[in-house]
Amino acid sequence: MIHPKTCAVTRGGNEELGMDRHHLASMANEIGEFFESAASHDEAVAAIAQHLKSFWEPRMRREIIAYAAAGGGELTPIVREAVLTLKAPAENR
Amino acid sequence: MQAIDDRDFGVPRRDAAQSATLTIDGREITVPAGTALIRAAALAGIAIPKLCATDSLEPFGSCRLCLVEIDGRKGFLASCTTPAESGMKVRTQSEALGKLRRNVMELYMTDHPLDPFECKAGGACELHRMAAEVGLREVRYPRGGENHLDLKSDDSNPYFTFDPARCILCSRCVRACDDIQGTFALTIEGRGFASQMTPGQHERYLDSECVSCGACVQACPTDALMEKSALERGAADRAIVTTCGYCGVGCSFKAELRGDRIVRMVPNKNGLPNHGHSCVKGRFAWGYATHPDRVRRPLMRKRISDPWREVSWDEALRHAAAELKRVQRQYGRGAVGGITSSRCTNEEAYLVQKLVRAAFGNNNVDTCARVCHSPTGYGLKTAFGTPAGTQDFDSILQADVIMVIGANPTEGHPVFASIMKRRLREGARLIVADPRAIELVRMPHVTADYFLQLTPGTNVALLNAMAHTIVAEGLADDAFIAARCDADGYARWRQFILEERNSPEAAESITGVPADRIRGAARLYAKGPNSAIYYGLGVTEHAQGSTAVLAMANLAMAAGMLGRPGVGVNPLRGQNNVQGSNDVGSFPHELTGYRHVSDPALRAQFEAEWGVTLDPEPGLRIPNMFDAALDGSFRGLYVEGEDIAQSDPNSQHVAAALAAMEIVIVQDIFLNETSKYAHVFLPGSSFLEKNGTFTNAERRISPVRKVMPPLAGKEDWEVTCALAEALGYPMRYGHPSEIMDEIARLTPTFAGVSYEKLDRLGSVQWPCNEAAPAGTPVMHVGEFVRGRGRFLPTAYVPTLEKTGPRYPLILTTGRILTQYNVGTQTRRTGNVAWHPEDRLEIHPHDAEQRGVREGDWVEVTSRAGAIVLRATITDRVAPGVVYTTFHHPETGANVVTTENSDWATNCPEYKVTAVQVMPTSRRPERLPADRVIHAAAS
Repeated sequence: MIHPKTCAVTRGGNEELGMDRHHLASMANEIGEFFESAASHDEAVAAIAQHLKSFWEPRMRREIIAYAAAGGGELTPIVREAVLTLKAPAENR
Repeated sequence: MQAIDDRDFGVPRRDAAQSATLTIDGREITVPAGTALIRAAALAGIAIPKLCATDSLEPFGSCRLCLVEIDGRKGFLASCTTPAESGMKVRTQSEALGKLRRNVMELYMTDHPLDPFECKAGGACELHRMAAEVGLREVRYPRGGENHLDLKSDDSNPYFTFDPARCILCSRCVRACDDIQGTFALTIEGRGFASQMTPGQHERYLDSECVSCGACVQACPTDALMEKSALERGAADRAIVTTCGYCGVGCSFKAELRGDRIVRMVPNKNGLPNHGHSCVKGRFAWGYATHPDRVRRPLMRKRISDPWREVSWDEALRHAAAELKRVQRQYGRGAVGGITSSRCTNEEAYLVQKLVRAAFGNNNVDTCARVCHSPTGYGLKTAFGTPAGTQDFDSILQADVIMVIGANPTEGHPVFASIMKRRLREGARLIVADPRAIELVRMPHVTADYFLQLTPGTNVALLNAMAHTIVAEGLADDAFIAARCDADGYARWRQFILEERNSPEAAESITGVPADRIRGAARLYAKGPNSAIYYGLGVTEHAQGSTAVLAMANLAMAAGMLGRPGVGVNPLRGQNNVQGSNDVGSFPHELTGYRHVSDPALRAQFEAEWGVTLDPEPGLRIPNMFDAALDGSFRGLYVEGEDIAQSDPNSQHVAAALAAMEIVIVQDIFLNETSKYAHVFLPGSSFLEKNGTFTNAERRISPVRKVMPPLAGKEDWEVTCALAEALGYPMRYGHPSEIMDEIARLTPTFAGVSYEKLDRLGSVQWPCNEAAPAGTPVMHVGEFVRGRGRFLPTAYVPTLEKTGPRYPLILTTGRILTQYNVGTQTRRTGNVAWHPEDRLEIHPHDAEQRGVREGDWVEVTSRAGAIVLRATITDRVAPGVVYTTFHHPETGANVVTTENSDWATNCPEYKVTAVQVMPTSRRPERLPADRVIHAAAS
């Protein structure tokens, strides 16, 4: 028995390169949930963005930024707002 | 090398404000008031013969060998029970005393082999030494009388024998079991001549409640209790002090050797984490180091379906380096990374992160603390400014209230648990918060005042409700908060915590713990006067792990329980070097000393030392590496000492990720589950085969010293250096001390650490620098490391892992005393006598509903997978909750755990998995032939 999130090919056909956006959105929303209840709106937006900047590797940030920019349907509003304040890190070859 | 001072002073040290000056055999000595004469004499360099006395135990006064004469007092007094007084004139030697002692010894020897050649300890036991010391040359009484010499030996324990024929009934073993270990497994049964020491209710050792800690063996002054390894291998001819390779207590041991062969491991009486005590793992379960399964030559294969091929070190390293470079050329610099284990030394973990940052050119390095205590790092750093426990272990001896949450110290940290139990026997009060009735809830002479049996995943609600009670009832330490904490943060938090959603009534509906019990526990904690929190993975391994750590920090700050002995927030670290591997920069976002890689001034220091330009961006964490492997952007991994395929959650996800990689290099002492996906296997060295340091849960840096040559020819740090060399980035060190010197140069909290200091002091607790040259036992005294303590609102958020009709039960996991993590080491020792398989604990109600009987095979299914194991029916778990350990690969407990993780750190939510349990005709998959585990006598 394999969980739907188990691997990329079973995660809704994410065969193209790039981290699983559903999973990243879920992780980002949990970060948002903590800061949203711990601070004012503006502080929470800044804290969410800073957390992502401090702990998320660039390819994860690039992915979530692209997802937020494309609408980010699974992101909560405050997380989307925070993600859109981030600058996409450069590709690192 | 640390000098070994094993002198036995006869009775424990007494600390007293007043002193007494007396004369012993004409020598004047001043000692703390209350010091027994036998100790005062020992301090003056005078050894008084003794048998029932030893300085790890309170005096007993039974053997009558330590008698002395005191001017002005009639008769002969036992020096172990007579306190020193000023002006006393004591004689330890006289004709009358000599005759008395010989007579006493003679009576002992009537019922004991007199000839030292018959001594199982080769005449080295205390009894024979004392017989010689008092001048006993013959026994005048006939040997044919009634005696105990024909009593049968009990060899049931895998590690030691008990020969009652050799026992002199001094009770040292019984007292050691009671007073040091706190298990009360031994007793003197019968009266007079029929008296006999016996485990349990006249049981064999193995069948009794004995936990095989070795305290009785250590205390025995005869050859009645002897290690089997010592009986087999003979007397040691040298000893080296080193640090245990198991849990985060980090016990200090003397490895006693005959040549290069270990005779036994003996707890070091001068070791500050353990004070001469031990547990079954550290004391006895070291035989894995020479187990036949050890891999002694590097291995290689092209595909993971191919058989392994033995190759030279040079070939293996060249291939590994070439493949890593190829992957980076093909897929990018960030396509490779490294993972270390908390079983690695500080120096090894430091080198691997240096290799990744400097030679791989990225920050994709992580350590297994990711999957255990990373929320501790986040939470305590955020609240207090440093991600480490606040106290030393001995601090607990000044605690009045002890709160244990999400930890099971008697199983996971047994030596520290012994200290804790001692304090509880002295009268400290106990709060236990756990989904399962751990041993501490009720055991001999220990009963928890409050057992808060909460639903898994609800720690935050419980902690918030306790804090709510403290604030609402005016029990907060306002003076401490005003002096030590951020005022704005506190005001905001105070408002939050007083909200109705954080009340005990609200928490009752979430946690299942009655509101009045939450209030009672909160009041007890707040009133202290000294209250200390000890916690484990039952706090951290949750979706809200970091939030719970912050909630504990809030609780401790609100009650003013920080910054002095007896209080604090203390993580009990699972493995020996969880703290240390974090300290030395193993997390992908931090360099040594928990400093973020984005700091350009910091990077400049490392760049100058390492001669490279460093990546300013955080790297991938372990779960992110797996995700990236599955999306194709991460293709190469170097894993040292960590069996991620068995220990990380959602095993099938991990397996798929590993299988997707093009080069996996595993460095370990055994082939393991992860090596099934490896292309290169580099044989590692056990803790007995290398030099380095471990840092335990109290921030104590202790030496690890090579006691035998590495079986595969290289210490692990040498392998990493060789891989770096093959990658074209030479890392050249003559000795691990030079690696520690580099860490000290680059890390302010380690600035005063050196091997020379460790040899001199035995160990040091960081911060160790100019401000604290001998280290820092208690942190945050006077001021938090971050300045003012930071309160943060910690709203309870239910986990995404929900029970329902399909998966109605919650599975939580834990450890057992005799096994260690995924069992790589302990499954290859005699410890399998106690725990040959993982079992599923299920409540009688849930079992009956499913038709499950004791010992039945059951299938546990979750949305991630299914496993098969046998059931144990017990009310230790609440209805609706099931529990298992994860020590055996056949069980594969992590097949069912999910990818849910802590919001801040990605620490997996091992402790909450929704499952169904049903009887099954399935059986666990058998291991392939090359993975069969043989228990080795050790």
